[in-house]
Amino acid sequence: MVGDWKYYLLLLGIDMLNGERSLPAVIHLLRGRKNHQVMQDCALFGTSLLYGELHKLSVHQLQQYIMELQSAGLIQITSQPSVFCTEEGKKILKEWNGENRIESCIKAFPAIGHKVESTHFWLRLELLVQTLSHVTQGVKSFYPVVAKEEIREEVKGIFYQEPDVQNQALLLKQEIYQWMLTLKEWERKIILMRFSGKDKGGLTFPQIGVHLEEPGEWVRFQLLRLAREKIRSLTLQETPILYRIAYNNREKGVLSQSAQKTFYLLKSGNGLAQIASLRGLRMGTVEDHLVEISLAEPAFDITSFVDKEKQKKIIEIINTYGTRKLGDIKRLVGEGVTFLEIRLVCGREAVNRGTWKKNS
Amino acid sequence: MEKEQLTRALHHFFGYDSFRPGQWEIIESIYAGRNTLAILATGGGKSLCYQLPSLLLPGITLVVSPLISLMADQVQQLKGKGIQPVEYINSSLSREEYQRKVKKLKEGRIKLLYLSPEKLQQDSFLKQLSLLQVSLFVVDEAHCISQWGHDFRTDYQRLLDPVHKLGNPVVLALTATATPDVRDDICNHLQIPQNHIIKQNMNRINIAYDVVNVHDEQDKKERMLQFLHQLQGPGIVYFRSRQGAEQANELARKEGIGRCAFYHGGMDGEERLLIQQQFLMNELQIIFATNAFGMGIDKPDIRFVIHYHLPPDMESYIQEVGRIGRDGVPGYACLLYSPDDGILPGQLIVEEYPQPQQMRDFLLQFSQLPMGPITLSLEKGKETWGFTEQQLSMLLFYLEQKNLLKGLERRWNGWSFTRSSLPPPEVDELIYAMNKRKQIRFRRLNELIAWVEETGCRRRGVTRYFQEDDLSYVANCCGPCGIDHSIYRQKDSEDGVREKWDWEEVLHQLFPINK
Ligand SMILES: [Zn+2]
Repeated sequence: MVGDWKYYLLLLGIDMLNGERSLPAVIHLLRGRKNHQVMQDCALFGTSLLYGELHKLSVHQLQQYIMELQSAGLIQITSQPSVFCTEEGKKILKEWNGENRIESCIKAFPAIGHKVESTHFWLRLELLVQTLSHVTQGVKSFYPVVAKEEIREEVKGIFYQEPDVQNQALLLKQEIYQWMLTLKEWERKIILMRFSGKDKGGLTFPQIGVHLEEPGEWVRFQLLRLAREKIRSLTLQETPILYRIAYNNREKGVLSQSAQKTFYLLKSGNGLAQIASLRGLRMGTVEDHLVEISLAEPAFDITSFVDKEKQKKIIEIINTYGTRKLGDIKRLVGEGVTFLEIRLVCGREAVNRGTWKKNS
Repeated sequence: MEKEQLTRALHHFFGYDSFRPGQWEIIESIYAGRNTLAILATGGGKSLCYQLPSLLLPGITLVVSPLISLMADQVQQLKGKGIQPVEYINSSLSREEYQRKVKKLKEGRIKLLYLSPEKLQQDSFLKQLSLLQVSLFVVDEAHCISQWGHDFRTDYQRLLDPVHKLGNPVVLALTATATPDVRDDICNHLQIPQNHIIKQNMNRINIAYDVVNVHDEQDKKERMLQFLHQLQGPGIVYFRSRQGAEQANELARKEGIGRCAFYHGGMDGEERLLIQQQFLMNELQIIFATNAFGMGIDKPDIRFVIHYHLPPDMESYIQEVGRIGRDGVPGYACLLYSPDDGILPGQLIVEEYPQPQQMRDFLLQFSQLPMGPITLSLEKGKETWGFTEQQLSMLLFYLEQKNLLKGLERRWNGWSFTRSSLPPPEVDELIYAMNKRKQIRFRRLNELIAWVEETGCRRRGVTRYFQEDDLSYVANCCGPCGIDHSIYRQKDSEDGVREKWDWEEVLHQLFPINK
C-alpha cells in the first residue's frame, strides 16, 4: 500500500469525511459522481481536490481496496452506517501526509467548481501555448495535446479574438514570464516542462516527476494548485490573455449554467417559488442551486433565506457537537428550521472557515 | 473521374504527387461502382483510398471502424491538414457532443463520417443516416467480420443490413492482413465478388525477422536491455500487460537508457497524446507499449520493434512489426521467446470469454425475464455477472443467432431486445459454443508458436501463412538465414550532455519572439 496513491486518497477521503458519512459517500466522492449531495460534501469537508480522482476504478474495485484498508486495520466500518479512520489509520495517514505533501493543494480548492475551473484553465492555456508556438513559427498543422473537443472549440474562440497572432503570442509570453517570476524554481519546472510547442514536446506528469524526484500524482496536484492560485490573481488590465483563458467571456464564476440562470433571476428580485415556476423546475432543484450559489459566491448574502437568529443557532450546534450531519443538526436544533436552512448555513460556515479542517 | 484530376486533388488535399502502389487501383474500382475488398499492408496508405474519394464524391462517405481511439486521431489528423468536413460518432461521446455532431450531419456539413459498428445497430441513428445520400460505405479492419479472423467482432456481422437500408452505396472493405479463409468470409458477408479483391504483397522487404530464445524472465530482461543499448532508434517494445510496459521503462531508466517512456490504454488521454507527440518529435527513442500504441500515428522512421511478450496470433504480430521502416530503410523485428511464453497469451484468451459459472448465473436470470422488451445495461452486466462489454456482447450475439431474442439493438449504455418464447439453451450448449471459439483462438496462437519454434527461414514461414510466395528482401532476411546486426547498431551516440535547465530559455524556445 505504501506509495500507492489510490490507498492514500481513499484513506485521506475517509479521514476527511470524519465518520460523518457512509461508505457510498466515499466512493461517490472519489469516482466523481455528479450529484448535489456529493458536491456539497466537498465544500463541507474540504475534499474537492479528491473529487473524481479515482474515476477510472469501478465501484467494485473501490470496495475491494476499501476492504483491504479495513483488513489492515486502518479504517473501521460501523453499522451506522459510517466509515472512519482508526487510531492506527490516523497514524499511517499522518506518515503518508508527510510523504505526499499535498495539504496546500487540498486547501486551494474550497469547492468542486474551483477544481473544474483550474483544470479547464490549464487545458486551455496548454493548447493556446501550443497553437501560438506553432502558428507564429509558420506551422499550421500539428497534433493538439488536448483531446477534449469543447476545450478545442474554446481555444479556437480565444485564438481568433486577437487578429494579430504575433502580438497575442508576445503578450502571452510576457504574462507567463511575469507569472514565472513569482514562483519557485520547481514550480516553474512543472509548468514549463508541461507545455508543448513547435520544437518541444510537453512532458507527462510522471516524466516531470522524474526531474523533481516526486511522484506523477504529486506533480499533477501541484500544477492544479498553481493554476488555481494564478486564476485568483488575474486581472483584465494586467494579464489580459490569461484572463481571457480563465474566463473565456463567461461571467467570472464557477456556477453551473442552470444555477447561473437561477442566480440571475434571484438578483432580479424573484423568490424561490417564483423561479421554480418561471423556469419549470422542481422546487428541490432551485434549492440545490441556491446552495450551490452560497458555496461559490462568497459575497452572496444568505440572510434573506435564513435569519441571523437561526444562523447563530445552527453554527452553535455545529461547534458544540462537532457534527455536520444534516439529520443530527435538524434533531438538535428543534422545530422551525428547515433542511435548506441548515444546508445553507453549513455551506457558508465551511467556506468561511477556509474548508481545511484537521481532526484532532 | 480521370486519374489526372484525382492526382491533382491528391496534391491539393494531401500534398502527395503520386499514388502509392495499390491506391490508384482501389480508387479506380470505387469510381467504377464496384464493391471492393482491398488488402494493403499496414502503412501502405489504406485510409487515403477512401479519404480522397470522400471529398470528391457527391454524397457522404461512412467509415465503420472498431477502433474508437483511432477514429478521433484520424479526424484530428485530417482537420490538421485543413480538411474540415470530417467527424466521428461512437458510443464514447457525451449526449451533447453526439447531438452537436448529428446537427452538423443534418446540415450537410460532413463529407466523411467515422462510425463505430454498434451505432449502425441503433435504429434511430440509422434513420438519420438514411435521409442522406451515402456514396461510399467503408468497412475498415474488415477482418473483424470473420469468425476465423483474429479480431472477430459480433457487431461486424450485422453490417450488410444497414448497407441495404442506406440505399446500397458502394462498399469498400479494407484490411491489412487476411488469410484466404478470412478473405472468403469478408466477400461473402459484404457481397463482394472474388474478382474484386485488390491485394498488395504482404512481404515487407526491408524488415528482418528474428527470434531470440532466452532461458527465463531474467535472461529476457537482460537481452532486452542489451538490445536497447545497441539498436538504433526510434523503436517500440511491445508488451501484453500495462504493468509489464511500466516496469520495463523503470528498469531501462535505472540502466541509464535515456529518452524512453511507457504508453498504455490505462493512461489519461492527455498523457497519451504527449507521449505520442514526443515520439513523433524524436524526443523519445524508445516506447514500452501495449498494442494500444502505434495505430493512430504515422511515423515512417521506426527502426525496430521488439516483442517482449508473444502476441495472440500471426496477424497481430505482422501488423505490429509492420510499423517498422515505412520509409523503406532496413529495420529489425525481434521476438524474445522463453519456453513458458505460450502461457500468458493463452490466459488472456481464456479471460476474454465468459466463465462457465458466469454463464450459468446469466442463463438462470435470463430464463426468468419477462417476454416483453428488455434493456440490459453494461453496468448491470458488470455488477451482476462480472461481464466485460465484449463478453456480454458475445452472449447476446449467440442468443440472437439461436432466435432466443429478437430486435437486438445497441443503446447508449447497453442493449435492448425482446425475449422470444423459446426455452433458453442448456448451459452446456453455451459452454460448448464458447469453447469452440476459444479453440479457434488457441489454434491461431499455436500457429504463431510453431512459427517461433521453427528453425527454417522466417520470411518463408510468414509468406506461407498468408499463402504467398514472394521471398525477396533487402539487407537481411531473418535469423536462420543470418543477420548482419551491424546495420541496426546505433550510429550516433544518443545520450550526450544533458542540457542545463534554464527556464527563460525554455520559454523563449516556445515563443522565439521579442518586441
Ligand atoms: Zn530467411
